[in-house]
Amino acid sequence: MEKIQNPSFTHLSAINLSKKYGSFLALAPISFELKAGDITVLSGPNGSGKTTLLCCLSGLIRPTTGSVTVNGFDLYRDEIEVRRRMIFVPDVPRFYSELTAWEHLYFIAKANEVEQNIDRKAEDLLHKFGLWEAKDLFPHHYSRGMQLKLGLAMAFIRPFDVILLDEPTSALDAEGVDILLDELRFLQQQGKSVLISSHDKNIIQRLGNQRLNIQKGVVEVG
Amino acid sequence: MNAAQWIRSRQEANELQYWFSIVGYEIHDHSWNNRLYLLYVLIFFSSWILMTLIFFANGAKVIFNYLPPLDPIQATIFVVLLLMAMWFNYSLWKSLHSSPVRFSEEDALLLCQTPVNHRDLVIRWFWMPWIKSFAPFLLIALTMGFFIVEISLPGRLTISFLPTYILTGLQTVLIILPIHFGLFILNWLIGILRLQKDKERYWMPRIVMPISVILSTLILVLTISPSLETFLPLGQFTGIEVVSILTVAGNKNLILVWAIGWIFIVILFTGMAKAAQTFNLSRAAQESSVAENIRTARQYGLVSYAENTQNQLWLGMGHKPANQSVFPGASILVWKDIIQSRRIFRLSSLSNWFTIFLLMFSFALLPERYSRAFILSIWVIQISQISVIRLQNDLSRWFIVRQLPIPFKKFLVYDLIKACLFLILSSLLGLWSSSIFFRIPMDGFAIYIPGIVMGNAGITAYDVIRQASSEGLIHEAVPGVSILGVFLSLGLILISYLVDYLLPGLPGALGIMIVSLGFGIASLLLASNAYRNLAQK
Repeated sequence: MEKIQNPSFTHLSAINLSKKYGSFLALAPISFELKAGDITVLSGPNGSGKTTLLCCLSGLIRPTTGSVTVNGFDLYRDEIEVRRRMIFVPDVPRFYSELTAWEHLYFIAKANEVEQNIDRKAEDLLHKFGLWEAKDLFPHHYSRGMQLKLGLAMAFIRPFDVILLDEPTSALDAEGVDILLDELRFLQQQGKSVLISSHDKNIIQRLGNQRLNIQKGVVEVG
Repeated sequence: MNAAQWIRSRQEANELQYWFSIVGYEIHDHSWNNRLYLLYVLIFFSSWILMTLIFFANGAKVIFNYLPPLDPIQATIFVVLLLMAMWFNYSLWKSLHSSPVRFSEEDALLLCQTPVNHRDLVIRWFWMPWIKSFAPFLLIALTMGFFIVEISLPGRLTISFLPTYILTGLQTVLIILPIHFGLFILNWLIGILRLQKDKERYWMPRIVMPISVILSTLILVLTISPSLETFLPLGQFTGIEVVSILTVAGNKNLILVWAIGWIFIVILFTGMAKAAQTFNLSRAAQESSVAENIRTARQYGLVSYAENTQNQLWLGMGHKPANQSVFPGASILVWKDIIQSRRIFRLSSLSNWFTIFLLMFSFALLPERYSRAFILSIWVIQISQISVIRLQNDLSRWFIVRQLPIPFKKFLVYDLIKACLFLILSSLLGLWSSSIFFRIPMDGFAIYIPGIVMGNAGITAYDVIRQASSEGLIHEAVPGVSILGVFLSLGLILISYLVDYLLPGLPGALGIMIVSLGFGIASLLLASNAYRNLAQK
């Protein structure tokens, strides 16, 4: 049984976060928090800086200014502790060419020291996302939607407190979107924090108790 | 056809530009300065290649002296023909599985769907691959010519022998050229015949490949058993004639062989042009565009992308689940590494390890310090490239790797350890085989190998991470080993030499081990630090 977090608990805190590429301001300074049970929707047009913000938050790209803490651990000073608690699912996940879908799940679970019921968890996730029949295929043979589902399954097989999702609905079919939204609501009940970027108005309306709107690198907290 | 001509000229110009850019020449700059620089580059590289080939010929002389009772010239010709047979059979195998006429994705869309004359297109596409294929054989032929001068001219060699070197070298090139040209056309002809009109001749690989292997073997046997020559006219096409021309019979036979060779070539070329008229361009594009993409990616330094695409082609659709690992945490990287290595294993993967083996095998035979240093330099460059293959592969999966809760130092050790172990084993095996084969004591260098390999792996890992940027890694652009990395690795060898020179015997051996491992550990720490800052770039 998962431990349910206190709703007032801050999982992620970004302070004065900004990113510049040379003289180009990709992300203007922003501060915000993700509390336990928050689903925050990050919206904005193409090229507005949504992915840059998510990459900065996840540590894939280092911000020019500011800091990120997850459960009080600094993203760069306590990197391993943060990795244990936060996961980022990109819009186009990449996979090892030589590992099958099932082996990817197994690898991620083991690397994150998931000890119990890996097989059952993997099987449940693969069934849930409709990938069970294709579990022994190499993911480069998957369609983009299937790759995204596998990316999500890889995130859900390991423990975390914060999940960052970059346009997860862009390639999913209607059924896939429903499964994802159900999963996110379940995470919300469990007290996890979700930051999801999307420009799908339907998703924005159906989800989120906090909105971040981003325009040309400038973020407004809604 | 004009459009095809224009596209191909642009492709050739790009190719030329790529090769010139390697030596720092800008093809579009028409200034006098730039032209003078080109002249300088041409003179410099011609002299450098000449000297290097003479050096190789000299090395070959030393090695072939170990092969009595075989005549050294005969042995050289055997080696050249062996190389040519291996190249031809490999190219033929490729042509029987994928079109020898290669089209890029753009060619497939812009050319192969349009009503161009297939024969003209194939002939236009023929020349550049042929030149690229002949280049290594040109160097081999020159080395062979120089080798013949080395063993035929008495006394100490001086600069006055240079014209003889060049003339004999060119003479050998003239003999190798029609053989290579003929085989290249034959290879294209067979590849084109496989893809005719709307059908693919699936039976061809099963028939043609065994015939080719049998014929090649026969020719090779004829080369080392001249008494069998009379049974087959194929002797005309083998190096036996080369021996007689260069050493005994003079130029009369050379012209005869040349004439016969060119008659064959004209027949083959006509056949190829005829077959090309009904060549299925779309099918050829379908077969070759991925391979062409891989080649282009490799040419522009996107090695990881090229490797991944090639592996995806090789892997097929799927695989049964691998046995599960019992260890959680970082050790799962070893499980992953084993699965990856096993699934992408092919015979060509062995070539890296075989090169390491051969280098150490020949190293033990070289008596003096300078030629040993040369072999060691190649060995070091080779181990640099091999040791970081897994690290480069992991970095190309940046989204996955960066999010693993594994400390980077540990990650690095797990990524390098397997390659290091295999590099140490294949190097030691090379030295040991040499000592068994030539009945000489095991070379003392064996004791330094583990330290140098591990030190070098650390240096190279640092070099790769130093150059990487998070933006690039997100897009699978993983850097290769840089010139600085190569120099640092060579520096390690130089320091080892110095320690050996200053402290002979056991203290020197211990010194080299300490220095190499020290270098390795320091590099790993630097690499770890560079990794921490990598996301900043």
